[in-house]
Amino acid sequence: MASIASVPKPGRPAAAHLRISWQISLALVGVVLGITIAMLFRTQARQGFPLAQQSAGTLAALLKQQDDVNTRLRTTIEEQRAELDRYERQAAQGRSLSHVAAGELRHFKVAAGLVPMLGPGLVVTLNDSPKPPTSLADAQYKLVHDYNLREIVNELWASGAEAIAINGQRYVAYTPIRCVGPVILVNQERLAPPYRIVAIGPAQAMASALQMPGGVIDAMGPQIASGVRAQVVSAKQLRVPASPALPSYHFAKAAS
Amino acid sequence: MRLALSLLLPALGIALGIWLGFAVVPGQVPNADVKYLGVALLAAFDSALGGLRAGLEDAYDPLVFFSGFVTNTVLAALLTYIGDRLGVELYLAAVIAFGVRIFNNIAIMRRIIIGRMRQRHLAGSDGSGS
Repeated sequence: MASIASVPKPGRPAAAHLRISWQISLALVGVVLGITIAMLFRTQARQGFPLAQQSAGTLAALLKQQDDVNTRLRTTIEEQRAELDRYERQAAQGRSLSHVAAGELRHFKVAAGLVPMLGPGLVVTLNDSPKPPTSLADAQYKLVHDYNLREIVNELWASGAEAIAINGQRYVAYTPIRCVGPVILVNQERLAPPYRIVAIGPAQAMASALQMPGGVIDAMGPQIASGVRAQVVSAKQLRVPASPALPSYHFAKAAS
Repeated sequence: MRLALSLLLPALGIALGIWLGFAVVPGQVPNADVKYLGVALLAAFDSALGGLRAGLEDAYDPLVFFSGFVTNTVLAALLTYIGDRLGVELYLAAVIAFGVRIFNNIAIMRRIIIGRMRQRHLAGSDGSGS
């Protein structure tokens, strides 16, 4: 059988055999070619819009766009929360059992920071030095830092604060305060100085806790000497807004 | 007509490869290896065109074809690797070599195809004229 195939017949059959052979091998190389094209295409598609390579202007425009989206989403949250409130109130009307349940729900929502709070307390205002820092080392002394805010918030909780907000951002159990470049993030929200920390609680106790010798404001001495301003004022009626959203739980499950 | 038919199988091969690359082969290439993949793509493209040209010239030899495919690809990858080690963009040599050959092969194939069409046209006009 094999000998028949290899015997060169006169004219067309041998040529046809040859032609099929190069077509098949070309098809094989074509498969490799196709796979490489597809993989390169996918890799380039993934790189499609590398943020790190964009100009500052483009990035600023993108940031603005995302900010607008954020603002819109936040309005949606507030609207939906108001709606939920209305439903809860409607459900509670009429039946005493659900009335009790609604009261309990209200309590938990207060504890979770989902309800705006009113009351007397303290306002701590921190501001950067009016003179701009000249170097990185200088910035350490002329700016208000994330750790300043963290220490003050911690001290406020310790001295009896019941609700805290920084520049309108409710500080709750899962609120991070961190530094990203020139701004401080609270609840993933970028805050700029002056930082206004509003705390509802025992004004007298909180003020003396903050201002005691060796306390957190005392520890800001080098910063204050460089022009950073820290002001503690008590107030009769303060308002602390609600936390924007509940966290979503992907890992933790309730044990009971 | 015969030419179009003979291109059917290779075209199917490329289509199959693209499908495999998108749907079956998992994962993506790390950014550092994109250069290698690009050179491999050029080598494969060059080999495919070389094989096509040889087929059109009736000078196709499977051993020459496959050995060329493998050595070209490996050599190109090796050049790229050495270039990366030395900090010299040696892979450009492979890109230029393959690029020039691709254009050459396309030019030669164009001549062959045009020549055949012209022959057929002449034969056809002779037939109608007599």
